[in-house]
Amino acid sequence: MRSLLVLALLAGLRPAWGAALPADDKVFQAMRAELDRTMRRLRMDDLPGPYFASYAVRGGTQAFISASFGALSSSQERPFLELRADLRVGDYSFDDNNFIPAGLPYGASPGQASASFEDDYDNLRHALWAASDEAYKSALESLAKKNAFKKKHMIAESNDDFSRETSTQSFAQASWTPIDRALWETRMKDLSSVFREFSDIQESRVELDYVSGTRRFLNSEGTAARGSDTRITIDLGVNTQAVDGLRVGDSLTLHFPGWKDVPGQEALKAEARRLAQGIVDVVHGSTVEAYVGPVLFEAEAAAEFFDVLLVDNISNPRGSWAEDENNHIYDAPPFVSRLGMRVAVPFLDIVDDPALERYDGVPLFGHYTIDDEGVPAQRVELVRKGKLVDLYMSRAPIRERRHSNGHGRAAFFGEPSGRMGNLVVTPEKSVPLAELKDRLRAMCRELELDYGILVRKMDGLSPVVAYKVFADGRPDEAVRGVELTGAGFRPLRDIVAASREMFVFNFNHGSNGRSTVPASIVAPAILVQEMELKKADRKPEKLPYLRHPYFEGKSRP
Amino acid sequence: MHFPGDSMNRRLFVLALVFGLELRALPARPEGTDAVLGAMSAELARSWMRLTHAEATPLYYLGYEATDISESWISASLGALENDAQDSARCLDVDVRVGSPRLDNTHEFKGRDSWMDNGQRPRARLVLEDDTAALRAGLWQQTDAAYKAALERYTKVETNRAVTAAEEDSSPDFSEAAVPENSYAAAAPPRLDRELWRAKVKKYSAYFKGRPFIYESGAGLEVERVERRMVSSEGTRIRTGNVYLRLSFRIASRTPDGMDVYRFKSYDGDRFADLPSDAVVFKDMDRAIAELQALRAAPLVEPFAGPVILNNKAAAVFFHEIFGHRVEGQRQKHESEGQTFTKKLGQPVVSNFISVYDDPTLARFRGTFLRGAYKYDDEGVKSRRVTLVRDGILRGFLMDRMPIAGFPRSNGHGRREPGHAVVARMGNTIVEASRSVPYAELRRLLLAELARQKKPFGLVFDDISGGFTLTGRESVQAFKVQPLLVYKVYADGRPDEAVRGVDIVGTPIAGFMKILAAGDDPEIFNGSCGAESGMVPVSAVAPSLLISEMEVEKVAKAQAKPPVLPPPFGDKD
Repeated sequence: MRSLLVLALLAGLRPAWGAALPADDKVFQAMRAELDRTMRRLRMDDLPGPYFASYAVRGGTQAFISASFGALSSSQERPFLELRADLRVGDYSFDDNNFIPAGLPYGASPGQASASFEDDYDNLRHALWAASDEAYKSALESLAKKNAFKKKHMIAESNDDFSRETSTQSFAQASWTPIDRALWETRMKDLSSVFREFSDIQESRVELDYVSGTRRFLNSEGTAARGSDTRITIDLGVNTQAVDGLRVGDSLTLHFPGWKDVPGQEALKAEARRLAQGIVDVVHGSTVEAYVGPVLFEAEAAAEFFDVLLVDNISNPRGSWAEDENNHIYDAPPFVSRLGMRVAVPFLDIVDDPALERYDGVPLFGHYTIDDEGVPAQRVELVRKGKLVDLYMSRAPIRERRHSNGHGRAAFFGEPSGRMGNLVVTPEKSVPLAELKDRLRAMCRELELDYGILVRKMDGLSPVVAYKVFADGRPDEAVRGVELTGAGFRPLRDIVAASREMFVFNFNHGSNGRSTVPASIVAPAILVQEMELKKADRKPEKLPYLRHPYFEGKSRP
Repeated sequence: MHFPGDSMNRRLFVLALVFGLELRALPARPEGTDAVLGAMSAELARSWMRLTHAEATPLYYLGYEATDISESWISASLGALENDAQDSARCLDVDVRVGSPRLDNTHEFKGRDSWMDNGQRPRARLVLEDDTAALRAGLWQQTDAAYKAALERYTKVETNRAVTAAEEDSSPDFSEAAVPENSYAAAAPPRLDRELWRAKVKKYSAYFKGRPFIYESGAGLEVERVERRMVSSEGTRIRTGNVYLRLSFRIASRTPDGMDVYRFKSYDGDRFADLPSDAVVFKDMDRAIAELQALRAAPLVEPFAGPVILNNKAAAVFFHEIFGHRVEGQRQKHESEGQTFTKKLGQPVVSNFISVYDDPTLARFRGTFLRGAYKYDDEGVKSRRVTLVRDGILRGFLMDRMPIAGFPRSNGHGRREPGHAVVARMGNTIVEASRSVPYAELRRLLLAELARQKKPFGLVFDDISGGFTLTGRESVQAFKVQPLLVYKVYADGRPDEAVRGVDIVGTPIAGFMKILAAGDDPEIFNGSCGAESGMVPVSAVAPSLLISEMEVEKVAKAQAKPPVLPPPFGDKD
């Protein structure tokens, strides 16, 4: 009787997912046809069908070219199409999500597949059907376990699991930009030959990653989106050992939205040389046993500073229940409870604006218009005069924020959560960079320190490229094997000055076990009142028995 | 034995390798101008000169193997292309031995530390191009890392030996150097007509469209060329190669009670002329479809012990898994091994009309391509035919350069996938019967055996896939092969009936002694075999075999349910 009623109700409704889609788009036609069948008919035995479904399909061409020491290591190119089906059972207030079953530390990830790159209607529908079936069964299983978890722990109240958002439609042209492989093979080889100039470097690599194509998104609430993009990543890496045998290395990752944005070959080679020289400085640099005093963060290091101390603490605000109580991967981040409180010095304003395509002419990797849940990207004011005013929100609500702010992001096969796009840090007052360095020296003299620390590059809170800046104005000296300790959240409030110059840092942002998303941080160099450094725990290793064959018999350049 | 169809994962299927082989000497490049061999020799000479006595523990062997793998693959499902790609890689294995041939860094860890002995090394790459500076840079770096790792492991070996009991087999760790091999031949890559094969693969895959009981399907072509270059401190200098082509298709379904069933078929070769015509492929597809339908409808097997026939291909897989792995040399020596056959030399292990040998020098068997052929193994030893069983009596083992009691030398079976340490492996394993009967007669013999044992039915295994053979002491000494297609043959003359969910149980040695008769129908199984040294291409050849007793039970049932909705194509919505 009940099922008859449900059928009657359904029959009277024109499905919302019947929203107008671009004509002659075969991929959308297949997505809609299968989404329609899924929502109307996918129902196992007497269990409920999905209350929500979305499909994402991404297709295009990808290529990878790598070179080492002047020769090609790999070159491949292939067309691809992949898809993801997200099905939810239960209802908006309580569904199978925000829960991690035991044995799956990062949660289940069903509903993923690849299919024909020929935009073939039957092939794609078949793949969507199989992915939906898998996602549906997995969702049912999760919901059952989550219900049991709720009962076991006597949880009476909880936040909704999924926010209701206005549906939107946006359709950009389906397009892609080809790669000139022969040209880029030559350029990568040539770029990698730069490292033949550095006898102190043991190992080097140069890689080009390219992906270009179209993404389509469709959900059962009527949201539909189509967008195309090209992402070009050039990655350079060097590894070697310092004179005492400590392993040191550095990498540089450059991101471009189109071929025209890639600098000329000589400019790229200059970047490669800068990378190499930085690590050569470190090889011959000195160590620091311990240091307490002012630290100047510049360029990438400033971006990393804000990433570690701010971004990670306001991302993925919705924690997940974990069946395994030792699993804290998706616990809510600490700043959720600090909304409205001061987290940084009062002269800082921080926003995230995914709509920005460029900053000062430099393309921003974190740019997007629709997030991975189909919600339009929004500019979010995060910190106003040092006070935390907002968080990165996806459609997973929390008590303090009931709606998405267009930051539900993930890698294609990842689970969307509240993530960054383009973070822009604006100081209310600033000084030229050179002055900031003078200020560091002055602080050292005041504190009777021989030198202060300048960090140019960090990996988390481990400085990769750092220098001693001497109080008496002697030339800077590279340091190696140090790490920042006991930072806590304090350094954001201990910033004493910022530079007028702004640095753009494009990167793939990873966060607490979540998939990586393209992101940008635009920030000034900053001077922090006091931080602690100590010698890293890493042990040195024996130097190579033989000299690099290319440099053997050659004097140092 | 594993083969791509084992996995119903789409992506895995696509990555699976293709096979075939025939060496054709390239008229091209004289050896002296081979830049890769040149760089390998130069860096080897430099390292050898300077590292042999760099530390108190001497370096006594250094070998390089560079493996170039070029692959192309095209695959399609339901008439549309899912993959169309090619890739090349040059892998490097550095084999370093410090200490002495009696005891070196490769020595087995015993006792508590034995788990550390997995032989897996990070897969190192060299540049693809013949650029001496870049090649030597990579060789230098990998040599340094491998040398340091060898010294470190040697120290651990010494400690491990000091704290554990003496070994039963005290043979050295490395056999004496033979006369070094010098050979130069390259594998000629067959020209792939991509347009033609895209169309063919699409056409094949479209054949499964509109059959709602097929939940997953596809067809694919893979073309692989493998070029290996080896140099060693003993003077080895080799270039050798193989070409493997594979055309395959697969179809899968699930029974209402949640059991995955599938059919897979592959055609192997080293030239396109080896691959079948469309007519043959479509005929095989019809058969596979009928078999899949039969499997879906088939009842679950009930526990059974009685006579069975292993059809030729199934018998080949059975011998490879159950017999072949147990005659690999290292399994007679390692203390962690079950050593089933170690003490059986000169004794009967198989019925007395059966002989088994492994012969990697055979490129073809009765005109058909063999995947397990190679000219030199991965230690630079020339491959050769090895008699394993003659007239039922165990006569030998598969040997790499690790000696075992009574077998001081390699017989050219040291193999690996790049990134692994070499161990003794099979190549072309061939089972022969000194007396055989036509297949129809074999069936009559089965019926006679049924009558003798008073059994209402027997089983015919038509298709078996290999699982991992557990030969260690820690595990039960049983074998795992997974029967894919099994028929019940009734004593009273009723038609044969497919059954599913068949799992073979029991002890392995027993089965070999119970072979009553063999068919005159030897058939080839071409596949890839996975073991400690990775995946290597292999072949197994056997006739159909009648075995007086085999025990089977029902496979543990899968939990997955069949799809809730029918596949979309043709669904009357």
